[in-house]
Amino acid sequence: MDSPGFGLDDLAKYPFVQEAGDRVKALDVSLQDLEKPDFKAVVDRARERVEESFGKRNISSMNHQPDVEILSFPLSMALVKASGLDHLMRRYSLSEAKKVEGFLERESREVLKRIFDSILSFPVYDGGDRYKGLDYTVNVEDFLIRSVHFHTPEWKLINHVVSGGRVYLRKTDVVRLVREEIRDIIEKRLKNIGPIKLPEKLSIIVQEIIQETPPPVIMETIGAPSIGYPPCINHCVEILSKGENLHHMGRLFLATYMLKIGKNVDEVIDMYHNAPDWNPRVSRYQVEHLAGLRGGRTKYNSPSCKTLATNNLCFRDPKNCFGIRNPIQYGRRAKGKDKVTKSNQLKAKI
Amino acid sequence: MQIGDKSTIFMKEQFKKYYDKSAGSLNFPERLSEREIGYIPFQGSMTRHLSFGTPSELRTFLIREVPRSVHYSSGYYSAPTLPMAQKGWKGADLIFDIDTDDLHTPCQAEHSRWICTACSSIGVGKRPTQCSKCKQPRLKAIKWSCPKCLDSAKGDTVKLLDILCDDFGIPRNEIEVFFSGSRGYHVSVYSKKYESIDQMARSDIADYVSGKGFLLGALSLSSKRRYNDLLRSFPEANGEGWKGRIGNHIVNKLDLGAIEPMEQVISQISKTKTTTLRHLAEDALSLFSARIDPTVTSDVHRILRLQGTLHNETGMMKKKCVDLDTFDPTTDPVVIGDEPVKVIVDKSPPLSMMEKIFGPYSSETVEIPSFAAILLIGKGFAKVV
Repeated sequence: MDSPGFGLDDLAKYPFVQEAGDRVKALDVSLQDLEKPDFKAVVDRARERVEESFGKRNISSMNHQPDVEILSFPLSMALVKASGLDHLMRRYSLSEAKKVEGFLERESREVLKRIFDSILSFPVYDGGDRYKGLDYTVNVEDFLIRSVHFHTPEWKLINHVVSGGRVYLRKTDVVRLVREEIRDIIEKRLKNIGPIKLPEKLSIIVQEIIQETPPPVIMETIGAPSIGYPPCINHCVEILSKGENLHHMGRLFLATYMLKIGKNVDEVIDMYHNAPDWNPRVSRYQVEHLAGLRGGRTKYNSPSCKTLATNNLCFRDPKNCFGIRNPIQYGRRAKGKDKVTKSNQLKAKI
Repeated sequence: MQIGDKSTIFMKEQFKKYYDKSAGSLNFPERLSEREIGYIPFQGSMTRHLSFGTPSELRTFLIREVPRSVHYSSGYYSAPTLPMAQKGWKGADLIFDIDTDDLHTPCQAEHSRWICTACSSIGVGKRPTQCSKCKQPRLKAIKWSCPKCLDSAKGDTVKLLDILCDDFGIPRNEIEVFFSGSRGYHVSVYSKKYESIDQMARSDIADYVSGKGFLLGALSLSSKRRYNDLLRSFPEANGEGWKGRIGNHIVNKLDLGAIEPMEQVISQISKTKTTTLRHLAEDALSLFSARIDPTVTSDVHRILRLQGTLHNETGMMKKKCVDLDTFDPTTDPVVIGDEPVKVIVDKSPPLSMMEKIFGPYSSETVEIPSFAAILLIGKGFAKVV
């Protein structure tokens, strides 16, 4: 029973679209049914999806029957939800979205258009022939809302062709924007699932998943200024704690800042434990380099507020960031000037 | 200025005359009731978190209070009178501030002055570390804009409008340009599309219009460039956005405009030194960008001077520029009368107002029109005798 828009193979690749939900309903499989041997492949695949999201951090592409893939998606969502682990929900959503990104990059324009129409909350337009390779356009405001979370210079608006309120994009760029949208959709759906009562066998799987899932990294606050970290550091910490990718500049900033406020190399390395591409050996080398323990023995300073602003990492707190040039000064200035002076208040106006 | 001194009394009288006469016909930004209003009185400190349900309530307030300066929030709130955390942010105008301070015009060296807040003495030139008279370090730079500075600010405002209309596709009728009443221009965009975007997105817009963060690699101009990449990325003639501006500038400066086909142009560019290309790209960025204050654009809670009210340092009105080309910031926003007043002025640079030049003055008592006296008093150069 293929949907008029998507084939069964498409639904297996994109199990979050409405048509895939219709297919699940049509198959009429209850949670109790899933305990039967006939559905072992579905249960195994659902478990694999979850385990791969926190293990390899990438969910493998399917080598399964389409219906196994379609049914295992809602079941894996149920397993994740039943675990009650917030960090697993985030990790799982990102991994599913990354898997989809890989499929989308290989799709034809027609299929992509159907996917966009089906799931996106913003329009994607045909780019025409004006620019070679820039086959799509999106509205500037829709682009900005999403692109600023990527925090890389390549995603800054200035590095794209912008004209008449539209941003011209390559296929890979649009797919990257769509990945974020899918991650968001899955995460929201997980949050909206009500309490689930799973049959015994599935409950045991959930317990095993809870045992296997690494705990979230709790960021230590030792050495932080008494008023807390500056908003730019909080942002970097938040991205890492969600298990999302913090770009090079953000990582460099976080490490130099933490070293500067007195954290030791091991404490700083631990902060990157949740990064999607976590590699302890590489992290140690880089942090030790920044701490002046390797290479030219230069101790690197934390980048200035100006540099951070250019890299989309400045989230100025009007009160405590006033007059500082480097995030390192955040604590010091705030300590001495808890109260915003009258002259500062006036300067803050135009 | 001391509270109750002659100069303050004179200034307040002039402001009162203006508000008595003109407040009734002032227009305010849309969604006034959702905005926070703040003001600085002639006596006392700033009061914030006010709200006015209707324009007529605000007009009555201006006539009654005669404030020294009035500000409104670019943001709209569910409860504008509550503390910031509880206001309930609903959105904000997209705003830009072009201030002559940020333009670093060569003439600034000629009219730079400082005032010592300890002994009130005024010095010429850049602010030193301590007062040459009393040796105290409490010095404040006096910000001054001459017609050349203001022309420069207008030029950047025109560039900003071009970018907003051409690149962002914002209809001109959704953009308002104001002379700030002192050192530059405010540009407000009232667009449903942009009102709800956050600080980060606004910061990226600020970088875009001011030409910050451009990567040579975006046009495949980096040192590792390859012919095929360049052919793919380099814009055709009359390309759009920053890539187009930079591409056109490079083609013009390398005298490649007449060469066809495009492959020939690309071949020439691929042979050009990376440093040359970098300098040409930097030229284009500086030539076509608008020098805005990025902190203003990215701030979703910014308060800025209310249109139609007077600037506390100049007595000039924050005025809407209906036609920016013909707008003259030394005459159009002047609303204080020309009754002569005797003031003692020290070390003031020449002041151009209403097609006349007042000064430079150096420790002398002069009788000048009230509008010029107010500006010199507001800046700290003059006192009513």
